[in-house]
Amino acid sequence: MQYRNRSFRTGLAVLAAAVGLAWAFPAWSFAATTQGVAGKNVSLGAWAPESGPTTVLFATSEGAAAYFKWVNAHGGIHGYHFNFTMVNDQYNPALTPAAARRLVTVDKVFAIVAGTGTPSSVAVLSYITGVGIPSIAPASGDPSLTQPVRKNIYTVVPSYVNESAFQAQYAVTHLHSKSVAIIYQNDDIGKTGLAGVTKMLALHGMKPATAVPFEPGTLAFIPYVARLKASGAQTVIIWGSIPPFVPILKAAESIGYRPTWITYAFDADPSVVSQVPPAQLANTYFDSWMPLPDDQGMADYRQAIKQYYPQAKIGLLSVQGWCLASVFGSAFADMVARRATPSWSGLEHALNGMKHFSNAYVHDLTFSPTNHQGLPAEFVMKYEHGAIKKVTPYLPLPVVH
Amino acid sequence: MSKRVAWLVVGAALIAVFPWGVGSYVDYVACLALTYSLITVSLNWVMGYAGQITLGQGGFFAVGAYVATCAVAHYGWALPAAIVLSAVATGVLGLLLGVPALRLQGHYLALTTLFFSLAVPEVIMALPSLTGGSNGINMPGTATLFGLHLSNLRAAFYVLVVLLVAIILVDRTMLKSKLGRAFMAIRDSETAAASVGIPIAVYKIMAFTASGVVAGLAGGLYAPIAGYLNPATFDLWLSIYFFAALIVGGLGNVYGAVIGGIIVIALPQLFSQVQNVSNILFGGILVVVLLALPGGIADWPRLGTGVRWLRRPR
Amino acid sequence: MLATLVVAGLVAGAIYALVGLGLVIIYRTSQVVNFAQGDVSTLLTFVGFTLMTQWGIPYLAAFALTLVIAFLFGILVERTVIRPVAARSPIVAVGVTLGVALVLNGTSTWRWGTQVQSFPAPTSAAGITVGGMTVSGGSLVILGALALSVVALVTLFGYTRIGLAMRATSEDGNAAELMGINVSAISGLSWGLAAVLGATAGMLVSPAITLTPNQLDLVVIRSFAAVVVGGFTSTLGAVVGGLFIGVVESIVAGYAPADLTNVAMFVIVLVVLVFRPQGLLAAEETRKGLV
Repeated sequence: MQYRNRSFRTGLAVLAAAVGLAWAFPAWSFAATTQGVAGKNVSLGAWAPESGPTTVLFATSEGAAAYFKWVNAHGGIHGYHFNFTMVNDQYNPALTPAAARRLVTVDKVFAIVAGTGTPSSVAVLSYITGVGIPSIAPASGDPSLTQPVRKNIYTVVPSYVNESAFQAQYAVTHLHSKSVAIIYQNDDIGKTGLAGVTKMLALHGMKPATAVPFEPGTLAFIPYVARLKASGAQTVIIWGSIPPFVPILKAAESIGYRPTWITYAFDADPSVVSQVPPAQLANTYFDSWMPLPDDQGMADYRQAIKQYYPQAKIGLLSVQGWCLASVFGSAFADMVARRATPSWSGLEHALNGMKHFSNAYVHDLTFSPTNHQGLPAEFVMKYEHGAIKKVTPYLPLPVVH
Repeated sequence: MSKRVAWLVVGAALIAVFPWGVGSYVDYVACLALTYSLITVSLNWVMGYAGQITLGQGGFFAVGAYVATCAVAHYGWALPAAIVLSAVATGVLGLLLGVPALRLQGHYLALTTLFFSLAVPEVIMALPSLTGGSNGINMPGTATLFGLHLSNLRAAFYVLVVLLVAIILVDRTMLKSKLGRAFMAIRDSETAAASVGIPIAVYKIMAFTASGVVAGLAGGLYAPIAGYLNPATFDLWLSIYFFAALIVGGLGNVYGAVIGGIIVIALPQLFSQVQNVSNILFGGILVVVLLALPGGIADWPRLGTGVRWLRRPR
Repeated sequence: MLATLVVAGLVAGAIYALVGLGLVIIYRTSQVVNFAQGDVSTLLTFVGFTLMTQWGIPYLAAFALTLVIAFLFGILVERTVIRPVAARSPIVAVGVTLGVALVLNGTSTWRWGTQVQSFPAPTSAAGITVGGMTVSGGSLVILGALALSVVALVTLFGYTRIGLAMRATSEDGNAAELMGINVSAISGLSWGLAAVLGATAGMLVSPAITLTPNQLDLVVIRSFAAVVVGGFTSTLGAVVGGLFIGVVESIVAGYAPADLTNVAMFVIVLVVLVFRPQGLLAAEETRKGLV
């Protein structure tokens, strides 16, 4: 009979071996008072896109890791040292649940800090909430992270829908633009941007001059910018990941179209703008909440990146990670300064107690039990004479949910 | 006790206690691996037995997952009925995909099925009010399969194991039957098969339909286990992974298909902290297997020889 | 606007055609569909990038050097992994090319994936202006590269002994071998040529975008569509198919309310597969589809 067949036995042997191997995985838990804290050592972690389609975002994870390395090298926080683990989920929302479970049940982290990736963070939302582990400052502005408010999730990155509304508002009120268009990536991030822009324009009795979607991965943008040009828009808001920014502006230049552009801070990175035609860069505004890498207050960041993660490069992506991690650091410091041993409720209490908190990394950060979207304001920047400059003070972020 | 029964008992016992000794991380990975194994087994029916090359399993998987989720989330269907609906939908799609198989061979068929797998996420994203589009969609947590919450990974594990065993039994039965012999006749030489009166068209379409049904079932089960679907998961590379899983595990061998599915999932997890190695490693293994072990891992006794039935007359 | 769209479409289509030509050449001589074409091209583009930016080699010299490397690399791939399996079933051949694609993609991402790069442009010339519409210098170079490639290939196939040998091999490999043609060398040659075409396409398309390891994913799919439309055995078909898809895509993107470019491509492919699966320009083939 076929059961004596070699392949069947092979299959069974392999299955048994696999089961045995999995058993050997150190996964059983002996109850600890608080997971992730052993004496003065705290385990932290995050899912990170180390491979896959958007590895450029990995610099954010490295920025966060650099922060913790730097903190450790400088005496820790009230003597506590941090072990930050990054688990690769390949930016694939099918794999993030595995990464999250690994962090929570195998690495037994105290908290998730700067989990990177929007589909990734959304995929594990119910799991993380179910476990109750704090997820601090994920590197995503997806509205669902803070709508509704979850006890254990605190975001620093502004919600995309508010950020795009901010951009549209700036176009109308500061640039006095009569026609605003949007070109957006045809995915969740881009469509959220579209929603924010449309809502804000509606509040001013306007509609987008045109809304042009494009597929992620598109290389040829002339047809899309031709449509923007045909609509006569004075200002165009760009919503996508980093790669489309340069080709969009180059395509616009090649057909002689020079509107005012508004896009997000990561496109302002010198490595990106060096590829942009200067005539187009002169009309481009960037919205941001982050300090600039060359700011005086970022000296520690620069040194840490050079020392620990040189491949991450000094730039706004790693700055983001650093600033996000620093929010955890500040809350943690607050918690243990009151002599409390680290605990989830203690951390949440410390976070909810942050009011108008400002340091070199974040500005006017405020949390409360009913609001876990920490940053109330952003500013706008522009390149002038080859250097990036702020052109507005911090302006309030509209809330357009 | 005969050796055979002893093996079965040991195997069953190991599988039964498996989810209790390991944490939820390994449970989740195991559920994902079982899902992939199911799909690879279904792929084997078309590629391994019937010899028709296809890169379409990713598309069936996606359709199965989304149909079940939309039925439950938007129309309040009970989960078991929704999963049946998934299987029906993907079965119909399999039938439709089988039609080009009648006219196309080899690489042309590969390309056609590849375009099918590319088209499915496009359709998903084009219907955001139904599927959530690129934002993804959640399978409601209230969905239960005969009282079992599949978000409970242990329950999910058992359900998947039971289904996999059932499908393997179907596979074994089919192989010995007229259907199985007809498939393999078609694979080895269509002309010869036609000349002895085998209705090629019927059997080819049956192969595609059956594989569609199983892949859709796997998708329908995956949805409540993962809890959240996003079209980004069902991209071009997914179908390539199923194809590679079958080749590496063993084309034409159901246990090879199971092994292949497990490897595809387990390998990146083992290397999840090393940069990009999993892709390179997996691609490398695929190539090496094809060169040295054309029968795949399940065929290891024949290391070094070409498998004769894979050779086709030019 | 229509003229702008058409020209833009021709330029994009030229890239698809260049990649597609590589696919056709390989298919004609080894009967293998090279699913690794995109990743080979991208890897070579990164190599060119490294030569130009890190080693400081001037543009033209680096471009030429990359093409030489491409040629050798193509031969290497053919010799090591394709040749042993080419005689086996299509399943095995497809599997090998997919494996190569995975390995090369992983390598590109590993080495260059986490940075935002810019690829030097062939020329910063402003281009020509025709009737109020400007065609950039870069676009002209792309169109020129396609034209040059077509001329070179036509000359090769039609007027050289090697080309003749390649045509003989693609018509009937066994017969060619029996006549003393070194079929395996021809095979290697065609993979080398395909790599050169792919590297050219990759390096010429990169200046307009930001270099990423998966940048050619969408291009390769279009190239496959182009070759399906034109016919796997027709070099002219690859060119016509590529240009056609590029123009249609451009017009759809310019006028359609939603992004229907992918849908348009699927529809075109579907129509061709249903009504004329061997492609518009390929000779009528036997029911078996491929030789």
